[in-house]
Amino acid sequence: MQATATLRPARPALAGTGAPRSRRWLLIVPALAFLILFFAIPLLQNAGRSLGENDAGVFANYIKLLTDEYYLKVVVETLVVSFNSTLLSLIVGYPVAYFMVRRAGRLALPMLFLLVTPLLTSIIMRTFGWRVLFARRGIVNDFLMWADLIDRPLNLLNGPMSVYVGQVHVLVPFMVLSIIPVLRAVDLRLEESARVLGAGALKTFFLITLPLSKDGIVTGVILVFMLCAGSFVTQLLLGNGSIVTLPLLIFQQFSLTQDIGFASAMGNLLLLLVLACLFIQLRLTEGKRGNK
Amino acid sequence: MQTNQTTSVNRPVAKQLTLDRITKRFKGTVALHGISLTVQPGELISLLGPSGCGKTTTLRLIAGFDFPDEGSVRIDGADISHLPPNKRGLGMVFQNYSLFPHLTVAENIGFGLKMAGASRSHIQAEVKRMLAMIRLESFGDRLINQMSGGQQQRVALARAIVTNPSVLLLDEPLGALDKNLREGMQFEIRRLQQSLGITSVMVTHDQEEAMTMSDRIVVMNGGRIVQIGKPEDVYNYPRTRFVAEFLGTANIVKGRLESIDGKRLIFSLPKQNASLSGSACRISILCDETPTWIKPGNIAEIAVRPEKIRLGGSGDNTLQGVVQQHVFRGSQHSYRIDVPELGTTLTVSQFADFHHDDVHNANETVTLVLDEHAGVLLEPEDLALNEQAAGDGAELQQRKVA
Repeated sequence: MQATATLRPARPALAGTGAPRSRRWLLIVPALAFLILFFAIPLLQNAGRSLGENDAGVFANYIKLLTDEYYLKVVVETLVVSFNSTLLSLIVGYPVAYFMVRRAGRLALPMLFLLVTPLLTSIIMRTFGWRVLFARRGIVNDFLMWADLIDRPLNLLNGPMSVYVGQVHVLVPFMVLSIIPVLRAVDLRLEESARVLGAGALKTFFLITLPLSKDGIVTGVILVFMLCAGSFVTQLLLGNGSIVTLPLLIFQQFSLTQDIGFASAMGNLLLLLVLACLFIQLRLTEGKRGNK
Repeated sequence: MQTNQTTSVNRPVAKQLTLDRITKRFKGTVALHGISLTVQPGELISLLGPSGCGKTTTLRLIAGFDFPDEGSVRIDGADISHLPPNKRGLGMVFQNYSLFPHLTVAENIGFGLKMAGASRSHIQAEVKRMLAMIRLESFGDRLINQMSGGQQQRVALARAIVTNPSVLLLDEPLGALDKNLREGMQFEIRRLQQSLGITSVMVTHDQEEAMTMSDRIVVMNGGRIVQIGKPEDVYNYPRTRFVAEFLGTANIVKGRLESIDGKRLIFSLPKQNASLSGSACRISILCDETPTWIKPGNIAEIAVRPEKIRLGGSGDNTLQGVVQQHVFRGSQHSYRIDVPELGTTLTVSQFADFHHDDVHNANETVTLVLDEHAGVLLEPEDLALNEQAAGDGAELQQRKVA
């Protein structure tokens, strides 16, 4: 009796794995409900809003967006800025991830902490930080003057350079955090094999380590690209109009012009563009996917 | 890189590998205490020992992943102690093969040649030759994860030898295979190594593997070489208690040296308790030269292999015992026999001959016969250490009975 009593609670748990299929779907109901309520419905609503009720036709907003030279330029600029920022983040982030995994040893944990802490502050605060550093009489200009590299303060703010610096600063942690686990999983003995087989340190890196950490790079690139394509705070606060991207335009349409229909159309276009990029990236990196 | 290419194009000439008084420390602990070892051209040597004995460290020093604090690694006299691994022209098979998962089988095998700057056609021809040699002709385009463990093992071997390395390093090469496959591969690797005549160093903790594959075995313990010798010599004439127990099974009994008669040392075996009183039987041990460290009246340890004790029959030195346990192991019967005269339990194994099987059951009283060659005199461990520290080298201490 005692034995059966103690066994009984375990039974349903065991049976759970083999529960009738008909009731298993219940488990996803909460998540599904949340997604429908807060993701699918707003998205559909937004799509509906973007279709104009005015006399210019149902797709007027989209036609305007895709035929007007100014808007087309903005679309292209959005992609270019996102691409460049992603590339820069990769170039800056990969060595950091590599150092943390392979060389840092006991410093790895403090480094991780330093990497993550900026994420705890608001992006606006971090961006304003750059405004202070890049100001006419800010630290950067002061240092360059002191080092006699320049005669008078440079106009560092309000140009593409400051936008990129701001973007990369915000995005690099995501890149590093995506690469670290994959790099950590690369077997050191694979690199040692390559060394014994005659590959120098650089060749070993480019032929073995880099290809094997591809999954982390892909994850990081996708993540950073998405975040970048959807961001406007940096462009707004550091670019001062020198770089205009779709999100910035949406923000302006929404809060200044209050043309909500047009803003919605741009939002949907942005969504489609990013999805298309994601698709292309995945196809490009699929290659010899059979290996893992 | 240049030298690498020339060796990869020409047929190899077997090289001699020398480790000269190598000491390696890791953060204060000494991993290797000045070990010396010479691997003759074309020879396969096994480094055998428990984990932490320094065998892997030794291999990594040869490979160039670590560098010695003292002493040198030489190939045909040329000091390579501080060359990076890619400048040493070695081949290595890793424990888990370490094949590149993002490359095909053919690309894996051709990797070394590509690094050496060989032409595309040369690489293709060599890879084809290698695939034929390991009997995987049609597998060149496969990815590594599409191969079985045994196939991966063969690819790893092909990748290591395609460059005609001066020395082949094998790090527990069969550790990841199951038993049947392992035995087959032992012979296959040995056959390849012998036909190519590559000087090889293998690390293993599997004594059977070491015995099957090696020309000589190097038994290591605590960062020192305890004994070097042919498998049968190390097995039959273990130098210390550690070797006797690590390689095979051994009954270790304490004996008192009674007298020396030419090459023959006569020991009496007392009761194996604290006082070592009485004398259960005598055992004579043949020694090429009388060891200087023992005088009549001294106590020393003697190893007796289980299969060297005969059960039944008569002889000069006999003991009475009671069977405690009997295990049938297929090719042999294994017994645990309590010997009251000695005050200890001995392990005895007898060849299983099914024609006239006289199996002894538990509680049966049996006669144990210790023949002249049954026992081996063991050196005290501290003595063995001192001799090695003095630079004598374990090799010189090898005892052989004429």
